[in-house]
Amino acid sequence: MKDIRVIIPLHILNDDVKELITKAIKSVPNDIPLLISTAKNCFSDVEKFITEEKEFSKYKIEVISIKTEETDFCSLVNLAVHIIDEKWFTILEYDDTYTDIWFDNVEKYTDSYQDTSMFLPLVNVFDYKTELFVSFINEMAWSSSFAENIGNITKDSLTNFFNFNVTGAVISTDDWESTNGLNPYIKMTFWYEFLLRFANLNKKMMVIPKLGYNHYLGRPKSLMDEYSKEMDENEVKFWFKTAKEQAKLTKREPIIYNAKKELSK
Amino acid sequence: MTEKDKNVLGLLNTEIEKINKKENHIYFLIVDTKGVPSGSLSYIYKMAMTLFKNDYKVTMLYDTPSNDFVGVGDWLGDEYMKIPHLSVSEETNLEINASDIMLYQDIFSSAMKQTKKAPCKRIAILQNKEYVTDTVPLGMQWGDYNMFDCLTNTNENSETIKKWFPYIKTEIIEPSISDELFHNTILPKKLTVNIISKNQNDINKIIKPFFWEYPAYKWVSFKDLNGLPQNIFAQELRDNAITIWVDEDTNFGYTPLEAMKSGSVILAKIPRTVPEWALTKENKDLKDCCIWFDSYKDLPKILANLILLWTNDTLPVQFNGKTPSDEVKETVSPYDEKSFNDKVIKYFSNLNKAKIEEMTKLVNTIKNDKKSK
Repeated sequence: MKDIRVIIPLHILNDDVKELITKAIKSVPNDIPLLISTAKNCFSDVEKFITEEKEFSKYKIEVISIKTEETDFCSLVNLAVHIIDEKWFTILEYDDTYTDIWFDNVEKYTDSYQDTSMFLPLVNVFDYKTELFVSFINEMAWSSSFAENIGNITKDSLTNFFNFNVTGAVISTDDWESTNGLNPYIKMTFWYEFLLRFANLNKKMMVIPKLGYNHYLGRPKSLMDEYSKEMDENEVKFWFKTAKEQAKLTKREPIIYNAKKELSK
Repeated sequence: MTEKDKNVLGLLNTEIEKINKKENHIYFLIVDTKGVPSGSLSYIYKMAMTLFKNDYKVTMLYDTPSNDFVGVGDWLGDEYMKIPHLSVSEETNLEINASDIMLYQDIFSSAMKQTKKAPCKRIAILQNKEYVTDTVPLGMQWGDYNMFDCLTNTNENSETIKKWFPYIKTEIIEPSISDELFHNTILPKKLTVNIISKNQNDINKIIKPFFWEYPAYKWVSFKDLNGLPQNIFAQELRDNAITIWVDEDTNFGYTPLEAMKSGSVILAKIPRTVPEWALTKENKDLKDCCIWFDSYKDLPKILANLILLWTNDTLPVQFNGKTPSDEVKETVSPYDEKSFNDKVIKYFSNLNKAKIEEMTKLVNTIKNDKKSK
């Protein structure tokens, strides 16, 4: 597939991450360029690793760093999307992989559905420890009870269902930029907020009914693992409510979760 | 030459003239399925339409009061209702002449009997052999009804009817699957499973055990295509990736051919009588143009595997040296519209020619008789 960039946000580099990211990069076809968007503290280590690792010599990989101290996923992704020239991009988490049929299918679907701004894959979810299949994600878009226009994610369907995996999806760079990308002030539900905002602006989103992405659940110290440890039920509810509110706004401001305030409501 | 001879000659010449001008009638006696789509009926209507478009004088006869007649407009298309229709239960003065041709749907054994003295050419259209065994009384046969010609859709039907009634002359015209309605599209297929079965119980037998045995696939959508108008039916075949076909009593099996032309992968329950197109010529094995299943208990696993293969783009590319798409192309190729239309026109044109020859011979015989006397 042409005119597409794979973006890998990375805030840390150690031996485990090196092993995982190697596997992730090797799942990308050679002709698709990659951009690794790193936190400031690990930029030089990542650059060195990518340059020195022989396995990456056949790939076109660019490494960039955020200038500020932010290490959050949203800021790293926003920075990367902002600087690329390609029409499409896709985000690859360093511990996930694409399937070898994904980009061929994206090519077919982008040709066939030219008014669509985002193509999500059916995602295989595996347990990180056992590597056993756990479930699918994004599959609900193909349930006849989910949306009138089967296969598509719409504003109506998002009001009742939020569990979508956007990493691995192929997204129009222009449409991402016009919606301001991810909101870094939102914890846990930033993807949900993004999908709601995309849908509110009538951007079309479609799930390609092909298994395109492998996601590993339960990796220790993963972002979602950390959230599930540190957040109680009330905070989770707060972030969902916040996502719905923020999706309607254009201005972004820091958001603080105040447990006492929320409980008193 | 007597007045009577002159009259006979006049009548014969009028009938010959009518055939030459395509003014003789071609009647099709059909059953009204009350809006329920039927492959057999569509075969007859397509034949009638081909003749109608080629300026033959075609009339569809039905045996219910016109108020009760539903017709095929809703499912086959309104254009088919432009062919003239007539209720034989109301029209008591239907005049049938020697130049006319009357075709009977296989279910009408009683009508064949009642009209056995009609002066016209009479032909039975055989698609479902069971109608013959069901409707011809014990001890009787078509010959008792002066029925000696049969138009049929498969070689197997032709062979069977000749075995039963050896004096029957058969003509085989394979049905056509409309290219305009049934074709593949460049748009990728949707992951939805069509179900085509006349029996609602079959649909429950398919869907519920599948969801119970494979809850990971509870998001897969099914669509019941039974009774849909033909254009919407064709659209669903074109759009959706998988089609399950159940018709234990089928004789021809139009639907899988239509699904094949539309690019849908077919999961087919093996019918009691396997259609001719589904068997290899060499050893009569089931062809790989469909995925066949014998029992409902195997279906959930087969379907789950098929969905997994489809979502992974790993459907087998070759069976016995042939790709499934080669097998599909080979299977559907005899059923193209042009060949059907050509065969229909040729058949009816030959019937007319034969009738003219027969009548001309009679004219000459009468004239020669008179001269020699």
